[in-house]
Amino acid sequence: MSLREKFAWIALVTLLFGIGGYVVVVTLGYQRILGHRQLLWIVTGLVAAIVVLPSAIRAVLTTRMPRGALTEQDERERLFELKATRIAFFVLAIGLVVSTPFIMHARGGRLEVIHCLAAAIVLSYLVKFGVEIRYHRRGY
Amino acid sequence: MDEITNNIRRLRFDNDEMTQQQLADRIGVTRQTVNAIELGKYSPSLEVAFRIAAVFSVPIDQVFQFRGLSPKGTVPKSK
Repeated sequence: MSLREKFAWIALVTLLFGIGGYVVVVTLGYQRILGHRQLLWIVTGLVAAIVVLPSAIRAVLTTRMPRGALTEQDERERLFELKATRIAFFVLAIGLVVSTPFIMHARGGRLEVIHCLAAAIVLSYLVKFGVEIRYHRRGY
Repeated sequence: MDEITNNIRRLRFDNDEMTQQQLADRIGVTRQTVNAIELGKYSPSLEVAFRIAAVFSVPIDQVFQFRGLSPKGTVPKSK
């Protein structure tokens, strides 16, 4: 497994766990107990974890695998990333179009709007990492 | 993709049984990319193709062959 594929797996798993955790918090009804402000802090913490954790794991992997780390992203890996980004862009666009009516009729206020937009962004990232991994597994 | 074939595997063995990783290090790509090229799953850029040829000190047509050419030398349209 190449280093880039490992990075994609780390990002995918972290995102899944982070979002999974958040969905559990919201669906269990903690938002009523915690309130919007506390929920916003949880979201901020999760976003930080999703950004910081993969970077930390990347740093550890890079130091443990000096050969792979020294190899820059080559043309094939760049192609995989570009293809995955292209597909993820369409997912994001469709997600935003689909969520527009929900945003327009959001009765819950700003939090619902944030949830709709975040869902579209997260879904597009999940697709991006998933497609990248698929290309790496397939080899072309 | 099947119309482009290569002799990288044979050339590696002719050059002191060079490993995929050694070739990858010399041409600046990952081992997985060398493997994909060798198996014909991925067609490299001209730059990488020339680098591979340079590593083995052979002309590029000894590394890669295009089977799509007709006897008259015309190239059929790609599918």
